[in-house]
Amino acid sequence: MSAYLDHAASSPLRIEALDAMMPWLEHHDAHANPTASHRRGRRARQALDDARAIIADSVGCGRGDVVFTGGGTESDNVAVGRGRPPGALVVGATEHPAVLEPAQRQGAKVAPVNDAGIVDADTVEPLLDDTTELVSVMTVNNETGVIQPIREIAEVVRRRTNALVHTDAVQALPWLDLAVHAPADLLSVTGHKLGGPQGVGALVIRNGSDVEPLLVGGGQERDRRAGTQNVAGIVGFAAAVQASADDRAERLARIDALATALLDGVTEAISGVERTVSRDVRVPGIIHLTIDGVQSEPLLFLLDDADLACSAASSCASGAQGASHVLSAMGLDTANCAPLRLSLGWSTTEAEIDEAIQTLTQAVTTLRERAAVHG
Amino acid sequence: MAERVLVAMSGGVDSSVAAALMVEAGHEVVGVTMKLWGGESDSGCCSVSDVDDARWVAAQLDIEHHVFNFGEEFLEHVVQPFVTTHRSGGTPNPCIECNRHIKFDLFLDRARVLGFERIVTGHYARIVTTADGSRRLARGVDHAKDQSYVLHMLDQAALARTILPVGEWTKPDLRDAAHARGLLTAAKPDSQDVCFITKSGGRESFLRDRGGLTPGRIVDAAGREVGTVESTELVTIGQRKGLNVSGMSEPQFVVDVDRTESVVTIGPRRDLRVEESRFVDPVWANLGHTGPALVQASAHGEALPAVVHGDRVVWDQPRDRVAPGQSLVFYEAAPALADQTIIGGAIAT
Repeated sequence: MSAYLDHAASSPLRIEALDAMMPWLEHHDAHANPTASHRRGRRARQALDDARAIIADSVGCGRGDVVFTGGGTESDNVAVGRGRPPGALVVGATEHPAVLEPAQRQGAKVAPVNDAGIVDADTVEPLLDDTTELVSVMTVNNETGVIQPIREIAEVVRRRTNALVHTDAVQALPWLDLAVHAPADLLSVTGHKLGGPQGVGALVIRNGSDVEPLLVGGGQERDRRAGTQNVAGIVGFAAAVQASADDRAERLARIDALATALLDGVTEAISGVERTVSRDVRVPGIIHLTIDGVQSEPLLFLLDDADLACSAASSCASGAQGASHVLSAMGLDTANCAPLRLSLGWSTTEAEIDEAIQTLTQAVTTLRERAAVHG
Repeated sequence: MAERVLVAMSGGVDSSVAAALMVEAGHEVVGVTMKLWGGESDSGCCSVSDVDDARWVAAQLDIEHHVFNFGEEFLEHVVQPFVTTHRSGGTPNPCIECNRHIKFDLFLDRARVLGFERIVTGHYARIVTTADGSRRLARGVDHAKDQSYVLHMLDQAALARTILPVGEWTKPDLRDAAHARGLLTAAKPDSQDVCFITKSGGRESFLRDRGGLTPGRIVDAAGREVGTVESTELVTIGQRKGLNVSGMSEPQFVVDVDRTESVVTIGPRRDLRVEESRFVDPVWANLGHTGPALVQASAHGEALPAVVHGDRVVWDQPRDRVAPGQSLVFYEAAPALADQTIIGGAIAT
């Protein structure tokens, strides 16, 4: 038995995405560079435009606003930009490193979060002035699943400044209607958190906002992202987004029920389990817990031993577990407990949830027993 | 008998072969790289490329590989004491503190918690069983590579739960074995020196970045000022080079460092000679020890005959003063190096 509860890290490819991609990979007579003028090239370009329309519909923008990229990190990096004067950027304290690191290199102001992990629009307001160029706050946090009030933040920014609003909506795309929840000028999304292929995403640039490209030389994506497009990947990304939009209501209800069963099961079987954020401020698929009296690394090791895939905080490039800047920004002390993220997605089954409860209970019991023997 | 063992894989050739030998012996093997230092480093045990090397070798051996992050503990137990000891005028050995606090404490305990019977490392030392059934650490077969000195703190519990397969090998044979198995790390150069100190910056820039360096006066035995040093933290007892004192009739050595007054005292070789050395914090392989022993005072120094009494080592022949902070390691007196096993060790004061 095994259980995969790490969809927030990467979700398995949906059948719809695979089916849409296969012809572009399999058939030699379908292959072409989408910039080519011959008929094969024109067909590939048409496939990109169809994909662009799907993404545009899903986030509520014009199809000319969609720039395909190599994923969420690239989209975030381009949105944050380079060489801005100190103080010109305002970012949330719990942003993904793809926003936070380039922002900190440019002397960004950091908007704090409250103990629920939420960036309140009122705390953003005092950080704004005439020199503010861009405000970036993620729609849904990747560790806790908390939904940020982007609409309120955007309103405050627009009332006080001419700055652009960017939101990293990578974790929001599987769960929220971005046309409603994320009225930002710039918006980052990626495919592999909802069943698209890895390495394909988009930056949405609304209202002709001025964004400096990262890759130049070739004119693709209306001069906003040079380089031959990944046709099969983009087609798969769009197919996953379409499938995800089609089954959203049914899927959310199902995942919410599974997540509730998981939470109930775990808190019933294991003492000292705390939910990091409450259900009404998070997306249904991301559950974040802290478990008293165990350490994160040994817990993940034993869970992996039993083939339960999930995450603690963030993983370093080396594969080591690092401390979470998200939890510390929330003022959560994890010195004597293990933070754990269990994230569900389109393929999660009831059997996986049962397996996860059993495995987690067993691992925590073992670790507590062995700690007691030694202590 | 097959056991479940956790191999510490640094990404170097020694621990790569250690892991291979364990797999070949039929054990159930899992590889782990400890992430210890996040700062600047030439290579040592800490960089992402070393973790990659360990991961690739684990894949060659078809074993699972994990990374344990002991960065905070490494900072607390190894790096900060390194700085503190230098500041107080001592000469620390961070590899010993890493073995004491990280590899043979945290890592050993982590292995137990995860249900592993024993840990395996790529150190050049052997574990032998004595006539009374207790275990002792013995020098590695390759005496030039012997690392028993830096592992002297292993007690009976640690010795019982550790396997050191590389101790039976010479380095050239081990490299041949790595090549014969096609291990990706077979030709990787040996790591040098302290893993968190870079060649370009050295101890000097490391200590300067962590609290600054203090200039001081150089005086002779009579207290007369004969020169100055830029940083008293970098001066070691017994040091001869880099003092820049001229007009002396014979070679001069550092015989004392007073960090409170920032004074370095120098003198001729005979001023360095001592009859005995004192120590603190002894650790013993089994029971304590009083009486004759061979005592080694640095990683590559010679073990000299002496008698251990309480907190003192009385040398059979006068020798140069041991720098405070260095470890004194007591070996069972035996004529052959191979038969010298560790009784215990302590920190020189």
